[in-house]
Amino acid sequence: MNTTAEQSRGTQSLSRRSFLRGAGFTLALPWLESLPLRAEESGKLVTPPSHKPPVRFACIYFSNGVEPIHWWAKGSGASMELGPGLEPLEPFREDMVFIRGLFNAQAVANTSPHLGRMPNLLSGAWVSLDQNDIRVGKTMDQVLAQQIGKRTALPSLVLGIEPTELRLEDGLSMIYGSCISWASATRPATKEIYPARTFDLLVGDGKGRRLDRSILDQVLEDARRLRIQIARSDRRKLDEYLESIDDIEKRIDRASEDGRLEGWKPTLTEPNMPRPKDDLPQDVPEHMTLMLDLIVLAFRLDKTRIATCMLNNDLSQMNFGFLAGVKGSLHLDLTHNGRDPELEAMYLKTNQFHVQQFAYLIKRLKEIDEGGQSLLDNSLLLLCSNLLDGDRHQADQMPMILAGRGGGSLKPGRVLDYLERGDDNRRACSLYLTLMDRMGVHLDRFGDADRHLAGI
Amino acid sequence: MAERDFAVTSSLLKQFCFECHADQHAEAKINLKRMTSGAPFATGFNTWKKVVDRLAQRKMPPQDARQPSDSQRRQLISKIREQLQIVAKQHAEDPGQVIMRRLTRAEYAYTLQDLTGFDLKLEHDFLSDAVGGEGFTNVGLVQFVQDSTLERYLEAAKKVAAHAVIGAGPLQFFRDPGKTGFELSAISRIQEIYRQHGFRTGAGEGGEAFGLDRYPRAFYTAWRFQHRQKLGLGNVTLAALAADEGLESRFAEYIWSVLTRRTSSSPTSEIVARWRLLPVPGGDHKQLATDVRAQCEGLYQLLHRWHNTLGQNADDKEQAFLLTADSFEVAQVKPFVMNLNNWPDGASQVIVHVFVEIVQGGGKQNPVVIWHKPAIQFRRKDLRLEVPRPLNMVLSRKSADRLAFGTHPKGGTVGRGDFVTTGAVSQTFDLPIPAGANSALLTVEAKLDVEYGDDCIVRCTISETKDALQGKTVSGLLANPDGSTFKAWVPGVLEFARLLPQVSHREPAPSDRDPIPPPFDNSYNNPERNDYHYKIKYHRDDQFLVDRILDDAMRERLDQAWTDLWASFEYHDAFLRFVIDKYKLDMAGRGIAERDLSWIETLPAEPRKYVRDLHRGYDSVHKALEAAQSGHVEDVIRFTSYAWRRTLTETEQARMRSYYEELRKRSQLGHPKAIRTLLARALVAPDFLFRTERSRPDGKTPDSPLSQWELASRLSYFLWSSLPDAQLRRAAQAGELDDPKQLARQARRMLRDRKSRRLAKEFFGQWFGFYQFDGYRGTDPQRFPQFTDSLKTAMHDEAVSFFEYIVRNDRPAREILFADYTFLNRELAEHYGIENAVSSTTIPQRVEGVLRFHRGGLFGLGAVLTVTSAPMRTSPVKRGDWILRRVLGTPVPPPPADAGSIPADDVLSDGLTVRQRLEDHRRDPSCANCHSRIDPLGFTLEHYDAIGRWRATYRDGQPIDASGKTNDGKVISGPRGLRDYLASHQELFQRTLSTKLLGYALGRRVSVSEEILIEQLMSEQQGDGRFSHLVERIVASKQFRYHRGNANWQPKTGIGGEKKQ
Repeated sequence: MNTTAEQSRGTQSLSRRSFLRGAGFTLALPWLESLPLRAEESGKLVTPPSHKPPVRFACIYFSNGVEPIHWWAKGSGASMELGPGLEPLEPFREDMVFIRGLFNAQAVANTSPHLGRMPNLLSGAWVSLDQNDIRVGKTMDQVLAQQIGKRTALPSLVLGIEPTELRLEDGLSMIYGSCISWASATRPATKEIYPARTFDLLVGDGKGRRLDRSILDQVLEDARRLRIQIARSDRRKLDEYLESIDDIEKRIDRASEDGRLEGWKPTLTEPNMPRPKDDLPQDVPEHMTLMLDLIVLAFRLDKTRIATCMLNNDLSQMNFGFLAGVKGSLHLDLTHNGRDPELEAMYLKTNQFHVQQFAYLIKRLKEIDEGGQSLLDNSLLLLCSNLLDGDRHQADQMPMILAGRGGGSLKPGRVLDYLERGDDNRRACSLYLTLMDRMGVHLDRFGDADRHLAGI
Repeated sequence: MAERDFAVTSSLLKQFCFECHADQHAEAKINLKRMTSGAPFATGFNTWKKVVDRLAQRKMPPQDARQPSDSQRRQLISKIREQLQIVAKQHAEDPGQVIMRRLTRAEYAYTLQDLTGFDLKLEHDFLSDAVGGEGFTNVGLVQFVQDSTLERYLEAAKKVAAHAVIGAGPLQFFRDPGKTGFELSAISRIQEIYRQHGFRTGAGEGGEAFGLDRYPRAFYTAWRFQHRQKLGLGNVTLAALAADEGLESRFAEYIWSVLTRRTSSSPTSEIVARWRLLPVPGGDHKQLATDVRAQCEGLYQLLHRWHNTLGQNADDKEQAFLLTADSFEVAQVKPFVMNLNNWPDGASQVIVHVFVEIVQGGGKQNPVVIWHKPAIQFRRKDLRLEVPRPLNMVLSRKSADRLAFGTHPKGGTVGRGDFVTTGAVSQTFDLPIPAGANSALLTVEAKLDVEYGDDCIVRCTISETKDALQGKTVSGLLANPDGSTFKAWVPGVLEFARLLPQVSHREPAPSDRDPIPPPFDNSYNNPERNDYHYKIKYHRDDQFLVDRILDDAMRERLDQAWTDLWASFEYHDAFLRFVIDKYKLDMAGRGIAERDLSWIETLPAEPRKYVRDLHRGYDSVHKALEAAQSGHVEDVIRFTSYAWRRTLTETEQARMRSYYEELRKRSQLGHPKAIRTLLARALVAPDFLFRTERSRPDGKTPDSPLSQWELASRLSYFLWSSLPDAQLRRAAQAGELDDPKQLARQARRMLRDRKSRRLAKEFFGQWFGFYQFDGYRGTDPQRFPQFTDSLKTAMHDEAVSFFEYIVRNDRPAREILFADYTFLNRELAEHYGIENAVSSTTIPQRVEGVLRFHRGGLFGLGAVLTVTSAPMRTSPVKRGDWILRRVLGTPVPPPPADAGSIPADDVLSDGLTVRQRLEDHRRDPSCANCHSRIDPLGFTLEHYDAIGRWRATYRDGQPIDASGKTNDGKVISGPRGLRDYLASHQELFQRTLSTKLLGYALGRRVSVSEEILIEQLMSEQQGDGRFSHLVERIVASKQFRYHRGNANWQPKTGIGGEKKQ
């Protein structure tokens, strides 16, 4: 891994008394200077100043895969050629990496063609088909949130467009099809689909919440007293409650300290967009744009550095009538189109529409200057779906595109093909290990992988 | 026990089944070898059930394989069934694991609605729900809490707390939050008391008369009391008789005292005298009662006329007229304006009546009234007014002669256009109507001429009818204010106004036609008056109501409401500023709170009076507020016990109180804020958000019998999706719920209650898939522009009302499938092509005999037919799968990942219909197995289009074939064929209903331990078995009444042959 001169300089401002976890490995990463350190005298957490912007991670997910014949890229840099499905990325060929051939072994092995292959996209875990046991695996974004999310007001943003469907699919809860981010193996991260509430999360910073804290202290005590009175099997649920209180209290406490007296400053201190309307937008493209704008806002305010956004749920029946020449709903009509040429053409348009959203995020981030570098330069963006050929529920390779420079850790403008390199060398979880590593979280293994993805 | 027997079974299975169902290549993933060698029989329970079914149906072993003899087959079947029975019995003791449930989004909303009495609309996508278990949101397993969830709960709790009304009365809630809500709550409470107990004639702007029937009822009550002995009422009290009439006893007593007074002056005396003339009982009491009632009504009419005469003294002033006990003034000259517009189309003349009555004359009979400058102004149809013309120029000759214009009978001088009347008269004149006029304005000034006539008090009336009491009139009194007759009469009028007023109270917020209190200038449209309405806003004027009508408890509530209203804004300061401005006092910018008595004493006498009153008022408001504070803390504790659905322990109560103290002292919060914080705290507590069940093993097993409170909650969340109501709380408190009879009684009561509509929404809606259908977005709007929001809502209402009807009227469970009725509003009826059946345009109404319109029962519901369709076409596969899965409970396995698909539209470019495509698809043997089960069922509903309308052909005119051949060779066709098919497979639906309802009640999957219970539930549905029977069975079950204590609990004895002992 490269250590640039600039990055090394950044580390010198670290206190010598400080203890730096995993020092050798992490020095390369510019934002690591802001790791919370324990000051010997006070025992309080302090954040040493950094002059470099942190790296942000965002994953944009769309469901039901793509039309494979249109999904390709070749060449590199400005001369890269893109398949029709990727057309909206034309202006950003030098900002992206096209990755072919990654897969999750547990998804392929699962017999449930949708729900067995989707909630594990970012964890590579097995999806439990036991109806009395909702279980997948903690996803890489939530690993990041739990490891480094404490540095910002919000550990992560977990966004979506569609609510959880209230039905069982083949006896399995649709909670599976509605969540790509899982806080633990048994618990999805709460997904926000309301732009207004997302905005409030970002803008309300927890200051002036002394009273809330006092209420939480009271009910925390309630919960502790309750815990010893209930059956062991119920305690797991109550523990979620206890953890939640703990998380909020920590956040309130963090907000009342000013962690950023000097060093790198976010490019915004106040939101530069109006608060969205309370209602759920009825217009899908407008809804998506708003959610992506909110990710940009979150990054600019440095309220979080980790975000995921589901453009649709698995098995989504999102109606694409808003695209010219497209009629019908995503899953039943367009994905499973019976190879009708007219419908295939419509399906391609939906693929392009999803890619377009990603292109929009790239464009927005690229326009923001963070002191000589763009916000895109300091980001790692991932666009993915859990199936390649949606019609055939094909999980043995997944469509994935990276964008950004990861603060100098990723070289864009490339096409990487792993399909023929053997299963051990093409695991999606290897990519996640690498991405997490570049975000400053260093794991030996994750999901079904114990090595990084080569050549990324 | 059965081990050796089962060894026989094993050997038979080995002989005939292992070839396919053992080791790695176990077909259909059924490995009988493993299942018979050591695995507990219970773990393979459902598979064993399948095995025994296949054996009994002779589907296994397959025809091309070696077959067991009939006796071998029988032996196998009976042995496996025996084992199944044993296992089912052993597990029937297990209440199963119900993971602690948090309130679902709907439950949370209903609970708060029932707690506060208001739908605070907080639930709107407040939390994300998911379904689990048997397909419902109330399953603990899929309910997650994260910090952001808790943040939302906290935010919602604070919002609810903002709706609390914290004033002089007990804690309550109001639909609007905060300061505005506090003010509006006070007004609405005041007005509610006023409206319930007060009365008013139509005085004030837009004011409608109400409550005046109190008078005739009070007269009647007083009559009954007077003659109580003769009426055979014995020693009945006046209060009891008042109660018979729905009258406040204080008011009845008061009216009694007025009617039995020794002396009273006119006009009160006239009323009293007439009352005393009511007949004395004797003979037919019933007829008499009717007569007396009618006479009391007449007595009231008399009273009412006096009110009108004295109160409505003119109608050209801007003030609202009302007789008050403060003053009574009358003029000698009075202008009248009468709008004449009641004439029929094409009428050539209108007749106008003029009356003069002697109201008070002290025996003098000859008043003279001069009608000065009467004029008429016609208005044309285009609203243009003509020039006013003197009446004498317009009238017919005959009429003009009769009125004798220009002459004074007593010799006085009058104008040429004037006329004069003497004595009590009733004059008539006809007014010819010019062509094109459709109304007219009659103006005249009447003057009492005391120079030539008697000094009487007269009432002048202009009327369109012969009877001065009927129809449209204008009326007014004329008197000589300086004359002795009037002066002698005024005290009597004022007494009348006081004793028998026409309003019991004024509006709390005076309209701009109502008078405002002294010292403010009452003249209309002056700045002082307008300012009063904007700034001081309220005026309490309800002495009669308080003194003469309300009982003590109601007085207290009214006082509390007024205290709140005054405390809701700076009433006293605003008033003080007015007084200070008015008397040009030195204000020094301070409010009432900083004014002390010594300052007040330095004021001039007149303002001093007002300021002192204000000061006193301010003090009493604040004392009342302070006095209520400690009660509010106790109110919150009571509220918390409702919210937590149990009584609070001493410790919990003490913690609440000390938290309040801490908030007041340490956090320096004011009382309302502290109370709101306390409320919010109660609503984010785990005991509110979760349906907690504490573990208290009963000693015999690790299981815990639920406490009375926990049982009450299970019951209320099962049937109402909300907390127990007062009756259920009382039963829990009294320990009645241990008694199965009481439990069943409560369940039946609750099913009848309006709130069980929620069961229709939550349980049936989630089961059949029409949950939240009013927000359904799965239909293509371009293809189906008819599918409007209102149609969606009507379909949703139809489905919910249908199931609500079954639940609340305790219909036979089979009507779910076979009912011959449904619920329609006009829009939906038209959508279904049912003409003239329905009048309601909003709420759906029940329509019988709809089978002939292809409606009735589950399969005719528009919402169901729509959700089982694709956006642009019907989907026989979806519908067939839905019937198998949700109705029959026999789902087919999911399709293989590469199953392929059917295109979106029903008219395809290759000209093939959906049916043809499916037939192609079924030629593939890997598909045929399932689709031969799915498709025939799905096609029976093919005559319903994707938005539930009946159709004869597809869009391109191709005929619809709604038939299909089931696996057992039967051909079924159309919805009728489907119903017949289901009628012959009722046990499958009965099992599904039992399983779903039980799964919903318990919030988990139904398993082995419910096997026997399910069979009982199925037997409850035989014949006309009612829905309530199922519910009673469920709530009486051990599963419903116990909480499993330990996740690792195992049956006490080994199972089957697999545990070697």
